[in-house]
Amino acid sequence: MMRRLLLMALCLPLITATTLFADDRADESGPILLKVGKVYVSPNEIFEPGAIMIRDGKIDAVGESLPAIDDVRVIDMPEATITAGLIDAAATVGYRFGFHDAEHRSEVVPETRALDTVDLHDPGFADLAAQGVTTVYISPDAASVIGGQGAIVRTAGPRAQRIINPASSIKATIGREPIVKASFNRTPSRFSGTSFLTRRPTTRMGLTWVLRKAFHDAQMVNRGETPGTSGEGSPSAESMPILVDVVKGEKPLRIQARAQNDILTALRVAREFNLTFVLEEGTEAYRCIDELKAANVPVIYGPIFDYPSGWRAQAGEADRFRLSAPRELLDAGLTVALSACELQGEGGLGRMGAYARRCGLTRKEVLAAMTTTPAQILGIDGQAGTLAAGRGADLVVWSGEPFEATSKVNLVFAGGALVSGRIDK
Amino acid sequence: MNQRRLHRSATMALMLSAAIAVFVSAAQAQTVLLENGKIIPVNGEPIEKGSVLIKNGRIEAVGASVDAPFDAKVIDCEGKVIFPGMIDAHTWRGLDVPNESPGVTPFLNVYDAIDPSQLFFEDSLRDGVLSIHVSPGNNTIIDGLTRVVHPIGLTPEQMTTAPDVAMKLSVTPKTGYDRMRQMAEFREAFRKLDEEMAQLAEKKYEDKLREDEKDLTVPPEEAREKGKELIEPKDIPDKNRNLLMLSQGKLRNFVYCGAAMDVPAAIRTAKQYGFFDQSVFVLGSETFKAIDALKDAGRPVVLDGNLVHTEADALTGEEEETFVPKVIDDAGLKFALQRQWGSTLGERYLWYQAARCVREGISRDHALKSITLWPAEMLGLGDRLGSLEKGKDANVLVLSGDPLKMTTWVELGFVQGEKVYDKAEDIRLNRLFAAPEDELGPSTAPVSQPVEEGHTEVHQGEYEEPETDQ
Amino acid sequence: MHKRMVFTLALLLTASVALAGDSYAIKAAGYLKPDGSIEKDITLLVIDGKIGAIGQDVSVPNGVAVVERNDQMIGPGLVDVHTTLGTNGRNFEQANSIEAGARAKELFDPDHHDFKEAAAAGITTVIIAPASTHLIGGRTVVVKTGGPREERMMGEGPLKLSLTQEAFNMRRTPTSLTGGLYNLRQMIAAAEKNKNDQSAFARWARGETHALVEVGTPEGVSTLAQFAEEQGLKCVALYANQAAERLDDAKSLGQPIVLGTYEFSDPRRYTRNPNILAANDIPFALTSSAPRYQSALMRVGAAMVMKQGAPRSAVAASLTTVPAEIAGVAKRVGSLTPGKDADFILYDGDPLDLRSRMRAVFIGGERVYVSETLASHDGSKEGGKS
Repeated sequence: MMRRLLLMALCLPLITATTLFADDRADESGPILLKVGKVYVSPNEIFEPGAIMIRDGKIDAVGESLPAIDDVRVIDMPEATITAGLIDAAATVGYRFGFHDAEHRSEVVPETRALDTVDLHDPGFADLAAQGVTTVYISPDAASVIGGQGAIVRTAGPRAQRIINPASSIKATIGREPIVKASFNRTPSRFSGTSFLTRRPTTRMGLTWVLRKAFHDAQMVNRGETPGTSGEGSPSAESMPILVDVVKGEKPLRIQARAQNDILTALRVAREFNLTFVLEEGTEAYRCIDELKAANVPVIYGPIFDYPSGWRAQAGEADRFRLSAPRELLDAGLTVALSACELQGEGGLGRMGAYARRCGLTRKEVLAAMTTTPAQILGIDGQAGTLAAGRGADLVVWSGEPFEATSKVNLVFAGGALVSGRIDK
Repeated sequence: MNQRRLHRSATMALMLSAAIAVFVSAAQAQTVLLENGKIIPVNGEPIEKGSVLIKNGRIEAVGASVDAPFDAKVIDCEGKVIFPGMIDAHTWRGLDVPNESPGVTPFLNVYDAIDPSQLFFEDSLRDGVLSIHVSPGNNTIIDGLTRVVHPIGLTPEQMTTAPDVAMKLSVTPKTGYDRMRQMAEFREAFRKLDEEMAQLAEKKYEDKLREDEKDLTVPPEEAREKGKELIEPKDIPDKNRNLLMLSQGKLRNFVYCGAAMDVPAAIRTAKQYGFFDQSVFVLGSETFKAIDALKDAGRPVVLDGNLVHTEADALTGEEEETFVPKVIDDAGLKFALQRQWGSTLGERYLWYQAARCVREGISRDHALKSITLWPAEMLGLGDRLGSLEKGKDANVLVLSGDPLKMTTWVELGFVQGEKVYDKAEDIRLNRLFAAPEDELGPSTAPVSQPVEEGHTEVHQGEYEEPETDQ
Repeated sequence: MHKRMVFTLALLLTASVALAGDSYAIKAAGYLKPDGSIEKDITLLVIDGKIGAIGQDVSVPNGVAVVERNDQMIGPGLVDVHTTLGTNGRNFEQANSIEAGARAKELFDPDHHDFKEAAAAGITTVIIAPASTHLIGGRTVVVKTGGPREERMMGEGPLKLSLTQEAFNMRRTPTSLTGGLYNLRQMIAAAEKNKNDQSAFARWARGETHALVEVGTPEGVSTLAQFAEEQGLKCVALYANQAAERLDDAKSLGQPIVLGTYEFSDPRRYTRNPNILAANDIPFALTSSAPRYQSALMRVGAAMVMKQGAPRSAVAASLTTVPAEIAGVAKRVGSLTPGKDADFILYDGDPLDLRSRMRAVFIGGERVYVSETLASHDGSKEGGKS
């Protein structure tokens, strides 16, 4: 009786849900052969028709046609296409409700990790997986001037495969968000004096000072010197080891900047301290193409929208967005990845890819911007972004060509397990 | 701030120039030949290469080869697609506020609140929606009359395609009401109408008797009975006119059923008060659950902009998703799609909503009809709009590609034969695609701020002192 | 009427006289064994406040009084693994979130009225914990709710931490979970380097002992499991009411789970959790969270979860042996086993049946509570027996 109850309790999710949670079930259904109209091994390597064999959670083989051997289950979808799982290099997902996303004890907190306050079982991950996004970099909150370390995770799949890098690059923010999000910031009164509530920068001057002070002190520590004047805005002892790693070039840095002057500030600070960084969002990057090109800065551009909303609207940093921006950046030869940021909505990154095509990108360019380029920027191109034999299966089966209004995601494999969609017998 | 004002005046300039174009062209009644394009007429098979002749504001001819008069303005549509103007079957946008506060207001008319300068109309034009059924919102009991407009013109008159198209009603309780009160007020409205009409009849008969100098002492029932035929349209008070037409089955009506349980009530009420045969049901997200009742009723429906209904199981918390149009289509009902205005990039476009239907297995034919022919028929304008057929209004789009393809843009738009939209001259769109060197360009942010997500500070006010011990 | 009262009084006196000494025997209809089953027709022998023997064939030494309670059953005293009894709410310090050196032992006031209520509900041993408004609250203390004064303080219990929203606010650092876990990492690394540090925190940091960590939500269970695995810690998740929704994470913790206080209004999604945990061999404990909730809710919760299919053995354990293990006092309390303290309860029916009334509660052999009304649950009047 108890067993039956237990069985029922565990089966209910399988019966009612339209997505399969294969949390720690590896590919239990045996080897699968997917035969489709087109396989995009990478944006430029295409099999038409194509086939992929998945065995034991790995891609066994990719080709134009593969033999159906042993007990393999053949799934024939002549209209479908397959691409590598999409990678969103600047996603916001999984942050636990009720907790601050960022640590507010200082504006410089690179020692903290976004993953600590992220719930890997958050339904947002399953939504992303259902949209074809198999890997994300969880972007730290922009409330800090120098925020914590983001995490590279798979959005679904066996637990052991979920965390790819728990402490990846740190993220700094130049713009109004670190200023505005500190809404509790108060000017010192003669009663309260200065306290940790009043020390946050209220202008870009203060923000840039904090940023420069942090890297300046880190450089000194790196040279073996002791930084002077600690006090308001100085980086804490806890943050120093990681700041030194950034200055040495051993810890990647990304900077979120939307407005033109903020992007130029980022470039200036990077030049001053000899830092390399990746630009995140870059809404007005189209206005500083030459400078970005000269500094060889990759851009994680996003999101694409009709009307600005959320923080970027409130901060007034998206008033001069252009739909032509991704096209301009690509034409200039910059490395460009596309991200949905927090605008995952209906269809998410895939739909954004369709819209990018509407704004002049080709299908292959969009695919690159959502697979090979972000994989390269995140340093995971050895294991994600393209379909290669021997790799864990992170792939998407679309009902037609990807990035089309009339196509939807049929099946998604992440970490070798089927995480979205159903394979009917 | 300056940037915004500049943008606003730019919008006005666009409107003005377009409106002027309408005036001028009306005087000339230009003949236009759209040549060599792929034609999707909606009411028949697509024509791979053909032409559409527009004359006197109407579609004169559609075919693989069309004879055109020598003075026709020829527009080469090589590589393009010619498609009927899309039709938004139901929206409160275009008004300032969706509903009035009192629940029963059949005497109101959206004509009084349509604001031609709204960005909504400009976007509709850009997105290929050439007919918009402007209606009061869903938060009502019996609301006023609706209007079908085209999104071009300086005044509501200039914008009107068809006036006084339907009456808006709702069976779903208005805010602050429960279902009992909603239906009670519904019934009360009709009862009062009957009462007032009966009193009017009685008075008319008494007046006639007085006129004929006959004896006035007749029983009220007789007076009311005989007085009925004496009532002339001018006798009917303004406030009752619309409701009377509705109860006589002479007025189309759009009835909002937000929940599945509202459907049987709506059907019953419509039949009881005589307006069922003209009813169109506007559905909420979960109303598809009443599919059997809807199927039996056989009336066309307008679907909620949110096409996917998600529900979490009460016991397990697992989510189940239903693609609503598929349920409706499988039941054989005619449906129209709505746009979901607040979202970015997808559901704001009517053609995108149709593309989603195709994605989920609905036939392309039905999907295209749900944004053209079917809404036209629901609005009683099936002889004027919704397809490329001889005799219909020349509401025509020239698209850069297939209507359901993401990469397709509207290149030209014609309303009643006049060119009202040209992408090459679309100021806002051009600004969104402007070259980086355009340093002096004004802001691309819209004049009316779209829905903003407020940042809810997690621990709001917690820098204040705590009130009590833990 | 008067006659009966006098008779009642006389019996009462005799009964109390018989039980005043530290040694006596009680013949009862049965007793609740640790596996949840009932052994019938037994005798409990109490010697000097400890359990001398219990079972069907127990020989009572000469001179030891025997009390007949053949309509009643004996169950072990309940052990509550998380309370704030006797603190009047003053078990937290506002300015600091990290109070690794704090000790709830210093808050213990044996004369506080809270304990009487707990004892009357059959809760004989409790952990008194620092508040949940600290990342590290400090060390808990294990006390008895009544009985011989010198035996009230049993010792210090595990460390208590909290990873809930309450522990983080903008008035002090760390302000967030991400900052808090960073702090913990640093402190744990320091403790691992310094093997001489024998503080409660250091021993937990090195994986030598377990700590109570409040999580409050299923997401909290996952966060804790991830962190515990990363740092090699033993963590007993506290208030993990829906732990079964994160079964793999709950399993990976490798420790019992404290499920919290169930009430009649709780939905099935909550009350089915113990069933699933039991089926997966994860021990769990129920708690009353007294005095925030009524002490009596411990038994109510047990009944609720049995209704959803949790087996008797797991439920019995959740009130007794599992919390005793967590508190570190399993050698002394938690079951009616020879050698353990004579902390027991007389019920007028099956101890796990919610309808059974507690007739009397004993701690260390001393009766600390006797029920007042004289009728039993089957309606018969017993005139003065307890």
